[in-house]
Amino acid sequence: MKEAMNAKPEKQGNTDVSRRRFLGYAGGLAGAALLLDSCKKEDEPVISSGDGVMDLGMNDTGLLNLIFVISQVEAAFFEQVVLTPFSTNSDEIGLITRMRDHKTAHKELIRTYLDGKGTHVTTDFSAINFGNKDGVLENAELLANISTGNCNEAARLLISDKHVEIVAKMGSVNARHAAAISNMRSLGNFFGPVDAIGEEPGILPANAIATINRFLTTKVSGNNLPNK
Amino acid sequence: MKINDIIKYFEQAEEGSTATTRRSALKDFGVKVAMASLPFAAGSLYTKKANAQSKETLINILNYLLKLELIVAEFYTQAYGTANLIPAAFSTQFQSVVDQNKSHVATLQRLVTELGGTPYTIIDTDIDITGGRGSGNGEFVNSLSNFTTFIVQAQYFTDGAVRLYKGQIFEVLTDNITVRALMNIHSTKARQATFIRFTRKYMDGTKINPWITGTNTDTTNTAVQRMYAGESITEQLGIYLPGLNGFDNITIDVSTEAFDEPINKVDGENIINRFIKG
Repeated sequence: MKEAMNAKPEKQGNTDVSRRRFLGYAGGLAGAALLLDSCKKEDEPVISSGDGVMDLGMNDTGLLNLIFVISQVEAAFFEQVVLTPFSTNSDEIGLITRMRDHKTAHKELIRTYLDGKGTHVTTDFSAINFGNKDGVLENAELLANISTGNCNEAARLLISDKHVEIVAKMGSVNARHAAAISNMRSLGNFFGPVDAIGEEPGILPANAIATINRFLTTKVSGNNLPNK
Repeated sequence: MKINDIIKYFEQAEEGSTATTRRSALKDFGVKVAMASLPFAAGSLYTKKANAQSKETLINILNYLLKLELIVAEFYTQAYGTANLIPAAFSTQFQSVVDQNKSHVATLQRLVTELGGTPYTIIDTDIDITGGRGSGNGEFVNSLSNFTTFIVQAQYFTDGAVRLYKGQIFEVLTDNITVRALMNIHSTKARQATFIRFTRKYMDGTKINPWITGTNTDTTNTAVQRMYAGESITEQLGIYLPGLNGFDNITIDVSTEAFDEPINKVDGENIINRFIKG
């Protein structure tokens, strides 16, 4: 188990909505939108939807929060690969190191944009043998595919054009990662989930979450996210 | 807007959303909810365009992307017509790219037709893949003469397609079907770019990664560079990325690589019209 690269301190003190006041809001929304206070400090309990699950919130902030969560998992996964590499091939490990850096940029951007109120997750990769190249790359491709497909679907679900733009900017880089990993797994394979009409189908938030939860200690839910 | 109003809006939208219309009313409602339910800084950054894009605007955008696709299709047709240019080791992948691009043409044509427009057409002989506006003697005149020049132009077209599509995705937001198609195509283009970049490295030994660093320093070709202008941005959503939150691994290069930048329609037209007989 490894904390998802959240060890570094973040900006504090710029929260303009107090915890108490926020909980009032959340109550009014019948449990929705718990995004705005998600366990910022270590000594605070996890705000959950009642079953030990962290709700990601709603609307654009919720969708960006999901991207924040996926990016944390990917960054932590790639970081583990770098720490315990399956190979001495500097080309492969070099690419994965760089993917880690890109995902660090994605998660820190969204963390900052959400003003520190995004959901911090703790990853659990105990089921994965990081010495096994096939297993590592299979999971790496899975994560990159989820990341790409989630961005594809989010573009349709997001409201703000500014948010669509940033998601599209990250989405194609995620697709580059996915294709590069696919080629590492099997030389000459780049197109993964691309369908018969040359499109990479989107992945609904609920489906992305179902997969990403496999890598989380405390699970997340997207019950209040747009999902159709 | 009060919280109870938001809930009401939300309930109404849930009910209404079963009747799927091409233009989603859900998004208009969503703006109000989002504006009201974001009691922090991000809320102020909502800048959704107030009005739906007109059908004419959407048709123009789709036809512009269609023009790009037809140019690229002709590029590959001529490449396939040149002996020993497409490397045999990657013929399957190149064929996938060509087939995917054919599908993209078909999808764009269908969307234009559905919107009541006429899909853009051009006769092959009016496409000048050298970028010479019909002279046949443009900046890419050597592209078919050897693999090195060919693969650089292929990279230019695929990275460029990612950027040109991306530039239109947030221009078509009110039409869910078009947003979905452009986004899903655009991610395939990014995979194609990864393939082309890998092939260039594999066949040619060029030190190149699957992503775009800065303004793509792997080539100094002026014509190619035109497609990479604006790729070296290190700030997103008003946030400066290098070293963000103390993460030293977010270097300047990483900051530029982690985000593919869009090209707007005016700049995109300027680039691709070079391949059309003037």
